[in-house]
Amino acid sequence: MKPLRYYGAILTARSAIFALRAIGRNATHFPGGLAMKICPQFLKHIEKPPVLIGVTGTNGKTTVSNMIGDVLKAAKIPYANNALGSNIQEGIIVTMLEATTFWGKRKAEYCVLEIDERVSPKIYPYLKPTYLVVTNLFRDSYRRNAHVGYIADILQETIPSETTLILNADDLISLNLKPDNRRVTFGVDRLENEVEIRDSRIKDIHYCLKCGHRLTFDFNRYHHLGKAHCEGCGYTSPKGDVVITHVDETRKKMTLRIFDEYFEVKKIGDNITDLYNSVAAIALLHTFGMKTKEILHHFDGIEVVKSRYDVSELNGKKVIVMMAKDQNPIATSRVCDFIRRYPRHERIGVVLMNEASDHHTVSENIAFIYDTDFEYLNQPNITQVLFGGMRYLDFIARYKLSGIGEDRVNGAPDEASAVQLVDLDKVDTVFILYGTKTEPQALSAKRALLERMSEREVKA
Amino acid sequence: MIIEVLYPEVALLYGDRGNVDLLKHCLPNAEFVYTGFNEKPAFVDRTVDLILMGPSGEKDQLRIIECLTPYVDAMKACIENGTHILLTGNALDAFGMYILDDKKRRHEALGLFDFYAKQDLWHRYNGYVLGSFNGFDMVGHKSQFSMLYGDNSKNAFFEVNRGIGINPDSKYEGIHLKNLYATAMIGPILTLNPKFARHLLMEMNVGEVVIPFEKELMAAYDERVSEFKRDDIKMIH
Repeated sequence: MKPLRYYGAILTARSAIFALRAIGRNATHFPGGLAMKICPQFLKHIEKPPVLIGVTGTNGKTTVSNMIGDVLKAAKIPYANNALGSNIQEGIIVTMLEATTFWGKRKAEYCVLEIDERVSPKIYPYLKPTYLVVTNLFRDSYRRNAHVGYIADILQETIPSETTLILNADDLISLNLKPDNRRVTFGVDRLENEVEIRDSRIKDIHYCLKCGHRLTFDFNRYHHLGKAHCEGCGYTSPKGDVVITHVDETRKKMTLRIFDEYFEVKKIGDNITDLYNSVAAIALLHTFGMKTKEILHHFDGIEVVKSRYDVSELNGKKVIVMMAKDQNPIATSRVCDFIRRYPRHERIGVVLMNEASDHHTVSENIAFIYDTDFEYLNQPNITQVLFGGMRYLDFIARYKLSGIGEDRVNGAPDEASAVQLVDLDKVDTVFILYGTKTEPQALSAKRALLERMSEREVKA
Repeated sequence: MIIEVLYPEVALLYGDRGNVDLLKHCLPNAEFVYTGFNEKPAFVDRTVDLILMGPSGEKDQLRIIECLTPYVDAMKACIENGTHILLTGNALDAFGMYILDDKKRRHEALGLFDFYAKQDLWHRYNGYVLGSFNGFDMVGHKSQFSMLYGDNSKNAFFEVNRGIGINPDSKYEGIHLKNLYATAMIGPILTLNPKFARHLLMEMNVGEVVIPFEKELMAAYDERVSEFKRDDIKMIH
C-alpha cells in the first residue's frame, strides 16, 4: 500500500511539469524537488521500467548516455531518459514520472539514466539498474566530491548486487568496484604511435587495492589510466572484453574487439576520451543484447554533442569552443593535453573561463588549479593564454609558477574582457574553454571574437 | 637544506602540491625528499629543515598513521627541536590521540597532541577562513569530513576572525607549536598567503627570501582578503 502523500506528490509534480512547460520551461528538475518534499521516498514507490540502464562515473556520463540513447532511438527502441534534465534525484524523479502513467504505473520498458555518482546512496536503494556503466573514477570538484576514494566507497556500498556492471578495464579504481557483480569490461589498447603520459600532476592510484604494494604501470595513458601490475600479489590489469585495438585516423575508423571477434566502426570525435565514451556505450549495448551488426550500423550515425566541441572558421582562422569542466583538474588537464597535441604549425591562443558560480557571494576554492597540468600549454606555438573570471589573478600566478613565459599570460575579471585581450596577429586558432556553467559566456565570447575577425578582414 | 614531503602520492590531495611548487622556486638548491608508504622517513636519520604533509583520504590516513607509528618518537623529537613542519587539511588528525570514524570506530593516532578527530562522511564542511597571524591576515578554504576536539586555545596557529576554527564552535585554528604549523585549510596555502610563505622562509633562515611572482600572488591575496572581509560573502557554502 502506497502512502497518500505519494499520490499527492505525483499530482503536484505533474501539475508543476504542466505549468512550467506551458511557459516554455524544460521542467526537468523543480517538479522532482516538489515530489521529494511531499514524499521523501518517492523513488521507492513509483514503478520503474523493467530495464534500467544507468551511466555514472566522473567524466563522460552525458556523452555515453547520449550515445546509448542515440543508438536505441535509431534502432526504434522507445526509452525514457534524463538527457535534458538533472542527473540527481530531482531529475531522475521527473524521468520516472515520464516513464509511467499518470498515477505512476509502469509505461516505458527501457530507461537510460545519467546518474551523478555522489547521489548513489539516495538512488540505488530504490532504483536498481539492470546495467550500470561506470565510465571512470577520477578526482573531481574537491568541494562537492571530496576525493576519488570517497566516491568509490559510496559506489561500492550502494550499487545493488544484482546490477551488471560495465567497467573500464584501464581504470583500476572503478574496475575494482563490486567484485562479485556480473561485469563486462571495456578499454582502449595502446594505440599506434601513442605517447605515454607519465608526467600528470595527479595520479589517483599508486598502490595495489588488493595488497597495498606499489603498482608498476606497464602502460600509463594519463593520470591513473593504463595497464599496471602488482609485484606484491601478482594482480594485473585485465585485457578487457570490448576494446578498441586500432584507430585509422585517415579513414576515421576504429577496430573493435568484442570478446574474440574484430569489427570496424566509425571513429567519433578527436580525443581519447571520445574513444573511451564510444567503447563504453558499445560495451553496454552489446551486454544489453543488441546485435553487434546493429550497434555498429547505428553507431555510424552518431555525432559528438556540438556544444562540447564546436569549431567555427573565418578567413583561415579558427575559434574552437570546448568544455573544460572547471573545478575538475582532470578534465581541464585533458583539454590542455588535447591543445598541446594540436598541429604545431598553428599559432594557438587559449582563453580559459572560470566557474560562473564564483559570484559576488561565493569565493571558489582555486586549489584545483595546482593539480591541473597547465604545464602542457608550455609549447612554442601557444602564443597567448588568457584567463577570464573573478579568480583570474590566481590563475595568472599559478600559470607563471609553472614556468611558462610570462609574456604569454594575461587575464581579466570578466570573460568578455578576457576575450578582447586575444591578439589576432599572434594566433591562428583560439580555444575558448568553458566550465559546467559558463557555456553562455563562451558562446558569447566566440561571437565577439568572430566579429572582431570579420571587422579586421573588412579593414584589411 | 632538506625538505621532506611525506606520502606525496596520497597526501597532497587538494592542490597542496602548490606549496611544494612555491618552495621549489624559493629554494632552488634544496633537496626535496619524497617518502612513500613503507619507506623510512628522512627525518628519522637526517636533519630535515621542513616536513610537509597534506590531506589524504580516510583509508590512506589510517595507513599513514600505521607507517608513522614506528617513528613517532623521531617525529616528537623533530617537533621539540624546532624542525619546521607544515601540515594542511586533515594531516593534523593523525597527530592527535585518535580518530573516531562515522561508524563510531576508534582508530588510535600518533598521540602527539591532546585532541581527537571526529569524522562525519555524510556532512562535508565547506567554508572559508579569515584569521590573523603575526599581524597579517591568513586566508584559506576548508573542505573536510572531520573536526578536531580539544583545547588548542594556547597553541593555535591563529585566531579566526571569520569562518570556523578546529570545529564549528572554535575560533582557534590549527596548531602552532615551536615551528610546527598545522591547519585544516587545504590546498596551496603558501601561494594563497604569500606573507605567511615569507614568514616561514625567514624563520627557516634560508637567506634572502625571494617569493616568485610575488606581485601576482599578493594581488590575488589582497583580492581574497578583501572578499573574505565583506559581510555579503558567505563563509560556509
